[in-house]
Amino acid sequence: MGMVTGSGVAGGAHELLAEMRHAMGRLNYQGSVVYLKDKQIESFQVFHSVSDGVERERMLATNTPMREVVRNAQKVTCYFPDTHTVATDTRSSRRSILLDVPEELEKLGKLYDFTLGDREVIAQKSAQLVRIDPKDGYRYGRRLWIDESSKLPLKMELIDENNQSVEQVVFTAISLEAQLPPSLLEPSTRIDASWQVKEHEALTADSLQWTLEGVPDGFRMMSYSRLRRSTDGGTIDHILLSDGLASVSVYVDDVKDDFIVGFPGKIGAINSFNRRLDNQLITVIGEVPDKTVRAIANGIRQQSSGNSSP
Amino acid sequence: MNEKLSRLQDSEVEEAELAPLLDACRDGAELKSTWARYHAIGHVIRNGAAGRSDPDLWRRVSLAIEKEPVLLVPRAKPRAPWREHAFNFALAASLAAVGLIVGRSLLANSEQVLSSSPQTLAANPAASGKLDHSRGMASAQARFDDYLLVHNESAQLAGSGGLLPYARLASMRNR
Repeated sequence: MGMVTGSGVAGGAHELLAEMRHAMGRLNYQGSVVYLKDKQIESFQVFHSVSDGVERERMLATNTPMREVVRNAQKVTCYFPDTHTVATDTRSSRRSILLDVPEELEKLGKLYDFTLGDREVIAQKSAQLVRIDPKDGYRYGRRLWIDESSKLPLKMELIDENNQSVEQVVFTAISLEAQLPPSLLEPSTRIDASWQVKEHEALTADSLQWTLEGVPDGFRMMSYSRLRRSTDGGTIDHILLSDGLASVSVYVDDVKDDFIVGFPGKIGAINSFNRRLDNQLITVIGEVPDKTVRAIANGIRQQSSGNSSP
Repeated sequence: MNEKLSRLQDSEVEEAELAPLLDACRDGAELKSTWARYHAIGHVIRNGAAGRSDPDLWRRVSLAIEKEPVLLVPRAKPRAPWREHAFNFALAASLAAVGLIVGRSLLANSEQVLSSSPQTLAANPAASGKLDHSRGMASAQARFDDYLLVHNESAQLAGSGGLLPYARLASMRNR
């Protein structure tokens, strides 16, 4: 990077993130994680193992409703005991549920500055701070504290446009293991026939109906899905955008009844904005600043007519 | 015509449409009233003012329109640099897989209470007077929760979601 950092070390942030990514993919570890947003705290247990090059990972909420995420070589499965629902995703199984930093960090350099910060102690371990600062006002910054010994991430913060931390995940305890018992990587949630299974099925893109003219630089479309809702028979188009770090969802909902706009949602780091487009409800949600979700929502046009306006 | 007014509120009216629309507004009391309502809706949405708590607002906005027709001139559209990079989905299609997600809305019947009270109004002008506000709010909340759930479930596809999307999922119950 060639930048003088807070610790007086030139460069190194990219290299440290690459080392972190490598460590996350080869070490066996378990620990306790705390998640903070607004005035809310959640705690989880995390287990990660690698056997014959194959990663397995499990994250379990320690409090009711004991939601659980299990990742293996084939898929990621989310268990929601409170709604008796299982969601599986086969497309993202190579990504760690702990903390995923894209492999192509150099490309992110157009959108974010990566610098080294100070050293701190996290979970009784010496950690190096890596600052990820956006180059424009359309995305949030990040702070990562990486264990200097194991290179595992010990803490992460999401920083808003006012330089305030809006979400944090912190290891309160972490231990490296020679190996983990396989049972710790198995889901503890037991499901039966009463559970609803949601699966993502990949299809060919053939019905893209929207153009997005308000998308800030660097965001790309990652998926285009159609959600079918049995409650009202309606469908919802879901477009997922990402700049490599931040993600934004665009929903185009063919609402049959009256609907409400101006539903301002801010939950932790998540902002949302919605508007009417003809008889459809456009909603944009993402861990990005408010002006980003507004810009994207206001730039949506129906492709067939070239414009939302007749 | 109501739709054109709505687009005027969003500064989305083409120049060629503007003059006839302004003439129609100037001559039509009903359109003036509609414009006043849309203007108030926009104000509430943008500024978070409690629009429905002020029964005199419509009359005052109408009076303002009467006195100051210049208010009907749309705001200039800012052209941010990144707008030039129009995000054309026809180009992006080659990168995209279309997913079909079949399942019921997890929270479609949720009766969760809002943690805050967003200022909301009916989006469909024809139905705006008929909207059952409390029922509409509950429906909007359920819909929003559904969106949030899907976003967090799929955020891993998008990059460095990592633990955060799942932590958000686990924390949704407490809202």
